[in-house]
Amino acid sequence: MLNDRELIKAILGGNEAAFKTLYTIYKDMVYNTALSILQQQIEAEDISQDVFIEIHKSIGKFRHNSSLKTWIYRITITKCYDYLKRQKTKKRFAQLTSLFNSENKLVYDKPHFEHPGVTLENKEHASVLFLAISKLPIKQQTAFTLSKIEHLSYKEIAEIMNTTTSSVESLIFRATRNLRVTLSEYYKNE
Amino acid sequence: MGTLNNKLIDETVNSIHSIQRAEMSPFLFNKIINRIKAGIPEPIYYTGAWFLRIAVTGVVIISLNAITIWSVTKQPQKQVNEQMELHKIAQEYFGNDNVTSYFY
Repeated sequence: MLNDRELIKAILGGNEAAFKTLYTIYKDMVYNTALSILQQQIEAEDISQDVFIEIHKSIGKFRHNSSLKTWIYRITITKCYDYLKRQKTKKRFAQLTSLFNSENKLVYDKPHFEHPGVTLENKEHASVLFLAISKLPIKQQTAFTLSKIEHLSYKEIAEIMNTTTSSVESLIFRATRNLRVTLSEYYKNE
Repeated sequence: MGTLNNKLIDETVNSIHSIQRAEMSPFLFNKIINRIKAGIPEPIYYTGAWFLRIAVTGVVIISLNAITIWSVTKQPQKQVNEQMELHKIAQEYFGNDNVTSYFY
């Protein structure tokens, strides 16, 4: 088994098998992170492709200041943020041009998300939870997702998000509080 | 009602612990390799900054056009004014209205 440095050296030497090894190690991590943040399966696959292409393109620039895992997480999150920004612009554009369909609904409304890794008995609850998560500010959403779904430590999250452990703690605390408020509103209206 | 709501909220929040890893398409690696080999660049996405740049460029082009049109349409008036000024000077110095005759 190659370590990170050997793996990177082999990839830089044009070894496709080494790149496949890296892909096998990190594919689930990249895809599940993108899936939790974007809440859309096809888009998460597209972003995962972009992430691995970016890794292949930029691996020579990796300076070992952090672990390879942290670096890949950062690329994934950056790509997800960029995607969400584009979606926001599209939504704003749709609002500006009044792109309404016949039922007077916005064309770019987010579709209902069902995480493929959720067990049948939890499907309904998880679906409501993801809806509430999607309403959180992006930083709270990222910290919450990395902690509760990716099971990363506060220290790891802080490294990925380029912030302090106490900031991560605060982000997760606020995320949980906001989620409870959103869910309470949701069940009150049900 | 409040207790029922709290129970529902707890169940919903705790449902996050039941989430298992999802798997992506097994063909994705081949797609990635094909894209790398083909050297297909990532699509250029037009974000808010791009729209702003396009809008600013548009405003600059329209302003330049407006300034050009304004200066061109203003020209005949200016020429007439210059002509009148010359006549005035000619009148004042030579007492002759036809200033062009002094230039030839």
